[in-house]
Amino acid sequence: MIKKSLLEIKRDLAEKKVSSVEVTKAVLAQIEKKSDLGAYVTVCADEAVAAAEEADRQIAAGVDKPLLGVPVAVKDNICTEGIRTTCASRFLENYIPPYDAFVVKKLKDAGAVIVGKANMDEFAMGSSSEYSAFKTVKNAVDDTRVPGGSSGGSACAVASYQAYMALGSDTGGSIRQPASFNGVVGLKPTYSAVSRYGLIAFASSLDQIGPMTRTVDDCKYVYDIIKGYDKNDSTSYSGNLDLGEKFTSLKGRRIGVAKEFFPSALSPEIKAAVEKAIAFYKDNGAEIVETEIKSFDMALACYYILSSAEATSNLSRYDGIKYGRRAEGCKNLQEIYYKSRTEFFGPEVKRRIMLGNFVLSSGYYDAFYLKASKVRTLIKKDFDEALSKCDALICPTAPTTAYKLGQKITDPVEAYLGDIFTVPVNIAGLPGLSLRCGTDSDGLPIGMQLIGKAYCEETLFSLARIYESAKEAK
Amino acid sequence: MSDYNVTIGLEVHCELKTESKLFCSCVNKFGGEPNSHTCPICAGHPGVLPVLNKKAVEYTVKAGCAIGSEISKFSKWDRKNYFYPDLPKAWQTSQFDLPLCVGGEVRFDVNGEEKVVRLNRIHLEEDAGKLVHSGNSTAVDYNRCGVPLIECVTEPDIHSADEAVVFLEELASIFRYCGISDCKMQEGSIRADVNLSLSKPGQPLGTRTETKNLNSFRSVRRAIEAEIVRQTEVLESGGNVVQETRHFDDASGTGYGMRSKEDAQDYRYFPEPDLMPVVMTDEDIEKIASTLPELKRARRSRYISELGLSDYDASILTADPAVADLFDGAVSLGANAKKAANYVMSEIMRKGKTEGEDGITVGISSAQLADILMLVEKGEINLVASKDVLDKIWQNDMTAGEAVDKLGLRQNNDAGEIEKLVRDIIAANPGPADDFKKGNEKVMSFFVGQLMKATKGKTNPKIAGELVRKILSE
Amino acid sequence: MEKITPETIRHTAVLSRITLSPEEEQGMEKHFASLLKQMETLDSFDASEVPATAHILSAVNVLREDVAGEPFDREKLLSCAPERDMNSYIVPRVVE
Repeated sequence: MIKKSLLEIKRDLAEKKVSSVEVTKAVLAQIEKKSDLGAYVTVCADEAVAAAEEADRQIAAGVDKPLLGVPVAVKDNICTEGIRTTCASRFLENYIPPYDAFVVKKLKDAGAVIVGKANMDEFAMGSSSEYSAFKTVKNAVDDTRVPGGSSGGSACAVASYQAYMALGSDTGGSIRQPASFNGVVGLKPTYSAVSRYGLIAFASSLDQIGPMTRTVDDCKYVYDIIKGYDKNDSTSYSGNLDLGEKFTSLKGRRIGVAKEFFPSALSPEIKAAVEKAIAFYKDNGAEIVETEIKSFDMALACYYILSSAEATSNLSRYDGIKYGRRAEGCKNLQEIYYKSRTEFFGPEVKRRIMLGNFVLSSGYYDAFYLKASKVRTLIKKDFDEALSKCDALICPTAPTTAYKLGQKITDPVEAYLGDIFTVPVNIAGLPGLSLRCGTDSDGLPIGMQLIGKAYCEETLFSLARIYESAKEAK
Repeated sequence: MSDYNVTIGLEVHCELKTESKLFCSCVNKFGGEPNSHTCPICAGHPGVLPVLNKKAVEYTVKAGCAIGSEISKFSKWDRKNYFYPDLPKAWQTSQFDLPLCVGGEVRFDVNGEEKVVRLNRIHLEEDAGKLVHSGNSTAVDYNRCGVPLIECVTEPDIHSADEAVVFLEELASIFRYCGISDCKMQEGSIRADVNLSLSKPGQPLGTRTETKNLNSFRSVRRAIEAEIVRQTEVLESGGNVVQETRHFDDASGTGYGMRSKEDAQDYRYFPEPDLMPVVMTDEDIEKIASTLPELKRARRSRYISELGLSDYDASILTADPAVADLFDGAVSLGANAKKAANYVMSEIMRKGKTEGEDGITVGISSAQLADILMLVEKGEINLVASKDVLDKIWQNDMTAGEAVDKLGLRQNNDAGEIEKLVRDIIAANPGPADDFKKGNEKVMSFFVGQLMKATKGKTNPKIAGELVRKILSE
Repeated sequence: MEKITPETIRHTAVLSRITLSPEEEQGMEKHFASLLKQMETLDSFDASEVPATAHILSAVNVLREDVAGEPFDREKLLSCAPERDMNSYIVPRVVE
């Protein structure tokens, strides 16, 4: 039962083949069983069972809602009223938000049963989920390896059947890379397509919430529920979000490949798997278009400057005064600031805050922050040009498959290199979908990334679905 | 002392009187229990986002139009980052390089001489909260947090405490006339920072100090005077003025430097990613400019030149825009300007003044005022009775005519009826009547008084007087 | 590219309100140096003619009407505070 797709269990629930309480309890049992994977920071079993009972009453009364009775997980940086939301940080370990995020309201309105808050890298800063202040998340396929990050808990929960769907957030690859590492589907929507209201900000101009699921159809189904205009988010898009196309044939479709997408450092197994996927598209009627993203090499530096600058400012509110923790025994205001921030922020968060303050500080602003803002203009332009010649771009999601726990934690900058394929997409504000396209010699999932035009998620779903159903048929 | 030229620039902060705060829908209201006007947004909770108040933008543009600023076609929002307990997000959302209004000037008279102070800019930003110190702790109240505030920065065109104070009074009057701010010093809705430096004639400007947060015109005057004395003493004794931020203590009348132990202020401004820019067309600006009322200076000179009022009366009538509007309205409805002016300055201002408050409460409309004046003019009521009428219609929709009827105050102007009453009174008082015949004219007023007493003041005193004389002389 | 000095690290730590131990300071210096090397990719790019992008979106004038909403239950906010007194957040006395 727990291994069914979201759409399958939704159908079973609607047809009363199974009750939401049964499904929810089965998922909670799986969470219990798989607790060593560390996918959740908080499991809300009581609330979930209560919500499931309510869902069953509604189903019995003939009510139909898109997610009625379906157990789902929410990344722990998305506010849930009355349920602790920690960002996997000591600073917020006791924070109970006084409000629901826009997407949480959407999930509740759709009748979903929230079973827990998914573990992550502290404040979504990291690519391995080893920076959770509470516990390390493990890869669902191989528990000696990282699940990726920062939405490692969400990816792990979905891949190990601890939820039918999990919301993640993606600032520089935090949905797509863990999706790739765990062999699930992850969508980073177009910037502005999903409201950020209630998403605890990391880098406001890059953050997006998106679904992580086991199938492409589940992903689309959830995306359609959570997307949409929100008057409480000034960057929420009020125009048409459905500019993509739904198709089942690749005839006349064009897929772009840029030479920058296959750098020498790329693992040969990943290169081969992605090339095989490209060949699949070509063999099935799509035209493969050679493109280029000249600014590709600058994206990583641009990303670390801009995201850290915004993060520095966004994380200054954690001062030990209004919410969250305050260090013990502070005699004056400055001690509250210094002691609380020193004690309750983890090492990676401190590095980003430091970097952000450095690139914004007087004397360095022009050389770093301003320059990165200009590089952003170029990256956006390069992607727009490349996408003007095709329906979508294809590239690896990450340069490696899941690596061993502890392997990269000693060299943060080395870990940053793992984001080269994902950060440019956030910088350009475009939608990116990660889908499994193979398995390496260690039996680990390999992911490919489809990058679309703004608000053309449907095109990505169509391309992904064609690939997915062909693989299933095999 | 006279050896030095004084150069002063002001930064004036005025709270805008919108219904709601700048970025959330909390009520914008002075006072209230601590934190009673707060929500997750203005209290800076994790995950919240701002949405800009349209009225606040319009009011700022209106302020700019009133002082002849150039209104920016494109302006944007920036984060000014610093830690302080009254700033829950740890940044103030403000405008750094592209404010809404650029330039402008304010003209005013000091000791009969016209002065011009140029404005550098007006930008819109959010106010901070309030700290209340007691014993060993400080209580933080965020009610004022997020209240829209305009900051008006002058050029260093001010050269004395007198000029500074009159400039501030003029600026406050302009904003009150525009209806964008109450500029109430006692509620802190207008505050000023004073930048001051001394220099020898012909020499470049000396080092300046900034005295922050002066919240009464009186403190502005005293702080400037004290700072001139202090800087003069420093220079005369061969010392150097240190560039610093200073605080003025109202109680002791002295200023002191606020030595920042921390970083020399580095606000690390950068564009606010959560707010989109504001773009104004010529039509937008024209539309706002067309709502500008005739301002105080223009009105005062019109009262003198066109309505023939004295300089003194014109000044009194234009001090408060509500009073001036009342007066103007009544005149345009046909009231005699001088009589209306006298009536407003005596009766209305007496009645509308509340102890301890800055402004005048105007409790009647121009139409009601015109009615009262008309009734007095026609002799339907006398001035004494008009006060009862005023009481009756104050903060009430009733017309003056209705009030006169309700109170039964309509004056008896029927000569036949009055003659009958006069004959009765004279007959009842033969003694005084004899006195008149003996040449004692003073008893005239005795008879009129008796008549008024008998008719409760409702007899036309002019007709009564004529009839008393006529009948006594028979 | 800039050279990172211990002073830069210390100043940045002050701006960040974070205390670094001597070892952490050294680690941070190394981290910064390594990052700056990564950032050398930007050196070849002549930014003078390129406008900066602050927003990826082109929307402007995203405004709300000036209407006051229902008051928020302040208890929900104050109950999050590490220290409070009745209806205020409390910090040790702030001296200016």
